[in-house]
Amino acid sequence: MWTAGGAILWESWRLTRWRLLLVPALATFCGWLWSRNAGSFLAFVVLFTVGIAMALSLPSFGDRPGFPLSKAFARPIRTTVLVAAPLAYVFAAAAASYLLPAVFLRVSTGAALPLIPAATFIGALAVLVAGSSWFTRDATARTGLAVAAYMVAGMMVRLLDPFRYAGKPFAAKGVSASPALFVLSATGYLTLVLLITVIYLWILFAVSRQRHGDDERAGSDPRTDRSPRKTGDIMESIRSACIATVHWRCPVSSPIAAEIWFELQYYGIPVLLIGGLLALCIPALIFWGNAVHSGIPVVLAACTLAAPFLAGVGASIWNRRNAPQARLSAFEATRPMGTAELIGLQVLVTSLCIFTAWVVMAASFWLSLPLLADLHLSASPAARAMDAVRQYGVRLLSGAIVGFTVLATLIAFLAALRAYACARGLRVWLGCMGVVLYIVGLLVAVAQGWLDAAVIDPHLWALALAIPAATAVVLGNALAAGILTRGQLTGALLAWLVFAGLGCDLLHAGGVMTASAAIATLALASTFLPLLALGIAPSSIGMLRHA
Amino acid sequence: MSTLVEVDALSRRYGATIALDNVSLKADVGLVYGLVGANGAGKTTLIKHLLGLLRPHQGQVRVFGLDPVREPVAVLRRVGYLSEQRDLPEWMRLDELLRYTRAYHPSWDRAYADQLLDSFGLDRRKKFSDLSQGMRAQAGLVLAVAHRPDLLVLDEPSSGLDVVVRQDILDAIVRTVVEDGRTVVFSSHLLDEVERMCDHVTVLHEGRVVVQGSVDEVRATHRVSQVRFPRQLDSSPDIEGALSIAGDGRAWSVVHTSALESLREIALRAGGEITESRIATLEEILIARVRRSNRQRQAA
Repeated sequence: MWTAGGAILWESWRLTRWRLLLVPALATFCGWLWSRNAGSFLAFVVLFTVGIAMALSLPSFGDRPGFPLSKAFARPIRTTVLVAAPLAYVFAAAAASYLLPAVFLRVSTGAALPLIPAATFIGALAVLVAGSSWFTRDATARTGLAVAAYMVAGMMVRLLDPFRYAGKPFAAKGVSASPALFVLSATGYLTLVLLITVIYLWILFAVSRQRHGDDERAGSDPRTDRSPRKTGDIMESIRSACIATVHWRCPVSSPIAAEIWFELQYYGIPVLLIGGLLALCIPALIFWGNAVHSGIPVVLAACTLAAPFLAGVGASIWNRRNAPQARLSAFEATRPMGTAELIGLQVLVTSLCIFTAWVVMAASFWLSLPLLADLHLSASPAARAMDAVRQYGVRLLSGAIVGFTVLATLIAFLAALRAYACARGLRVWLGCMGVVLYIVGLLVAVAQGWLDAAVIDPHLWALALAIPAATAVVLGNALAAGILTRGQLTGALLAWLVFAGLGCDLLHAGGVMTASAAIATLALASTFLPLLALGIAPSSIGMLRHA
Repeated sequence: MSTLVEVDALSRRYGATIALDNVSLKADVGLVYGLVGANGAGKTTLIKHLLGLLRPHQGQVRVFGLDPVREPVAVLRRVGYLSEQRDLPEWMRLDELLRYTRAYHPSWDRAYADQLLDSFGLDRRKKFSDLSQGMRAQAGLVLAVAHRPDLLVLDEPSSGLDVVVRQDILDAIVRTVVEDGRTVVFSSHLLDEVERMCDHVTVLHEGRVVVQGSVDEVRATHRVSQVRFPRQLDSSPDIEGALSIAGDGRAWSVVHTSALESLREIALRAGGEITESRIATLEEILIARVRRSNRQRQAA
């Protein structure tokens, strides 16, 4: 019978079905490949990691922060059911994202993976995450609650100790999986049930407040409803703070100057500030690692390099905030500026900011290395820098130029991918997934000895031929469509000649040219990628601009 | 009189839905053109073609004699545009937004922008996100007209606005036309507004042009007549040439394009008489045309 609770469950399923089907399916495929050989332990790691990722992401499926089904507030449904149905769904879906692939692997390959305890834990984790993200629309409060949720999760792992027997089967049977890898006692299950009940009551209280408007911040303007706090986006709050802190007047001398100001002010400065703040944190992390004799803080310090990239590409390229529904808003699309210039400036400013943040962070890392006593560094950072300059000379500079170009190329390809995904929807993601599956399948098949390694070579040759051919076609089409002008193309070709020269020199110095003919040819062909990006990025954005 | 906008046999599909079907339109210098129609009639789609935001599937669009898809910079530099969503950057202050837009338009008239801002009472230091709906529309209009564009394109400029702000905006548009002799193309579903503002009107329904011409001409060719019958009628009378017939029992209201005399004869033959007749309003014309089109589609 179709009830209000059933309708809510159906709505939750509709909003999450693709990630729920595709991601575990991919994980199952990888797990199946590994568990056929000696790596069933690795299969458990893959499935469990994917299950955790699903638990962390599944609760976020609404179109606004706070309770995801807030549009149902006006429906005739009791708040207890309104909360219970999606919470039960989140628990069941997260648990199933691990349980079903694990059962499949157990049946198909005999890999004895842990089932119910791991699935229950993953489901409970999803409920815990829901408790932190559904509680309020306020961005700052939600960030604090998310941190608290991760701390609670850590305490639960410590308290339940589900990995207590994990060492034994691993030591005894090498890399085989066993149900003992993850166990829960009766008390453990009871604790999880208690946790879920408490979180349910906690969300029920919060949703009752949200339903009757008690969660709104006093003093905010109800006419606009757009303040960063109310949009619930912590990045938006950080960005607003950055804009308020570092602010200068928009130049009116030319559209390009104004556009650079726009990109820097809204997208670039936050990236630079994040880079600067992390550069300050890196010495502290390294000092901490040295003090506790652990490599983890040092690895963590190295991992922070990802932050400027994710922040920059995420905001400026992947999800531009000034477009409420589409990748390109009418505001952007109706600017009297060519599409190639528009996307070129976006990519250039984003790349420049990320690159600068990286340079600052790398310098901080370099200067902090003497804090690691185990390295026994006798020379000062300045002396070591001078040594490096003496040793590598001009190649350091050419490395920086090539590195920056590669970064800009990558960002341009991401912009194109995003634009194609906006224009073509699911087909693009399915195509990408097909390519990834093909590559993973090929590599695993070669690694497992099912296919001869020689099968890789034709792929490399095909790719080496495809890159220049695709470049010629894409640039030709962009010229014909008027997206690129002859002047722009000539300038880009001149810059590319410099890049290709420097790139070839580095490839030669790196010994790539002396590798197999296929690898050397592919390496040479890949120097065309910046040109391909030059054609494909404006063409894809042009598809959105002139749909 | 030179032509600024030329749309010729334009067609556009969204999947199986026909958004525009063989639409043609010409806009000359110094006139105000209104696009009217129900929701989903194709008004915004047509406007997006004028701006080059959509590529024609069939037919062609020329603005200032140029293809707006191939030459967006040359076209957009001379166009002022106010979108229905007014999706301007939330984080910018109004003065920043003005400077930013000014950088794109060398013909920017600061004095005119200041004058408009003052007349609207807009605070230049306020962020766009802190403006109300009406203020956003006013700010959007200032950005659209301050560079004194040759062509002003307004997509539902007064949608969702209160009567005071709506009047402010319409006054500003009128001033643009009167003072500068600019061309304005604007879409609206508020027909009294179109009737008051426009020289020329195009009525769209389901992507097709159902009526087109100067407002006076369109109104003069449509009349509303009251026909009274001596006895109760169970169904609407069969009156040839009527666009729509509404009523009940003895009194029926007929919207028609035929001459009054010919309708009088038809009514007499059917046993009725015309008690009153007047020129139709645009609203009556639109409703009659849309209903007739729906009837024809159902019959087909």
